[in-house]
Amino acid sequence: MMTGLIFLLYAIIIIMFVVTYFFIIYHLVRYSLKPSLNNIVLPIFIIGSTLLLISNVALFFSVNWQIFLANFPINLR
Amino acid sequence: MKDFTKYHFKGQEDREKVLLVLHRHWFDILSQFLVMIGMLFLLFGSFIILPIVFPAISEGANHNLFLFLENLFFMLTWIMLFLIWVDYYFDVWIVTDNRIVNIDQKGLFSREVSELELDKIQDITTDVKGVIPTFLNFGDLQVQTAAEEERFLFHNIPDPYDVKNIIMNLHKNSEKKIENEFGNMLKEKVLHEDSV
Repeated sequence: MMTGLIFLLYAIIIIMFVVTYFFIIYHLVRYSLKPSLNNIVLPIFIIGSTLLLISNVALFFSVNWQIFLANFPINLR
Repeated sequence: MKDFTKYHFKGQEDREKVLLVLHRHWFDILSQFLVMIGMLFLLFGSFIILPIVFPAISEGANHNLFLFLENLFFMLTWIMLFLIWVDYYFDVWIVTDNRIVNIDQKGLFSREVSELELDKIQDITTDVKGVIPTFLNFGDLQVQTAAEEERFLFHNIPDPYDVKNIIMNLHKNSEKKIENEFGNMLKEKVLHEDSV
C-alpha cells in the first residue's frame, strides 16, 4: 500500500519534471530572441536535465522501498 | 549603443530593425537567485555533513535512499533555476525603428504580446525610487499614448533615462518621417492639379 503510494507520488514528480522540461525547450526554440544563445543554453539544459532524470530514476529503483518502510521508525505499513 | 542586429523576434517585419532589447534589471531576480544559491549550498552542505553526523546514512540501503533524495533535490533546484531564468529572459521590451513590443512572460503558460507604434507616443515618464535603484540606475519607464487607457510600463529596466531619450528621439524621427511623407503627398497632388 505505502510502496504504491510512494511510486504514485514519484510518478507525479517525474511527469511534472518532464512536462516542464519540454515546455522550457519549446520556449527556447520558439521564442528565443538571440539564436546564438540557444547554442549554449539548450545543450546545457538538455544534457543536464536528461542526466539528472536518468540518474534519479535509476536511484529510485535502486532503493528497496519494502525494506525501508519495514525499518521506518514509524511503522507506516 | 549596443548592436541588436542579431536579435530577432516572432512577428518582426522584413525591414524592421531592432534597436533596443530590454530585460528587467539583474537586481530584480537577484532575490530569487539567492534562494536558489541557498538551496544549492544546503544540498552540497548536507551531502558532506549528514554522513559525518549520521554515519548510518552511508550504510547499505540507506546510502541509496540518501543519494536518491539528494539527487531529487538537485533536480528540482535545477528546473526551478531554469524556470526563473525563462521568466526573466522572455519578459522583454523590444524597441524597433517603428514600434515598441512588450512581451509579458509569466511562468511557462502565460505569454502576452502587445505593441505600440512610435508615432502614437504622447508622453514618457521615468520613475527611479529608492536607494538601491538610484545607486544601480534602474527603474520604471511609462509610455503614454493618445488613448488614455493605453500605456506601456517598462518595469525595473536598467538606465531608464537613456532609454527615455532614445525613445523620444525615435518618436521625433517618426513624426518627421510622417510629416515629410504627408508633405510629399501634398506636393504631388498640387503638381498633378496644376498640370491638369
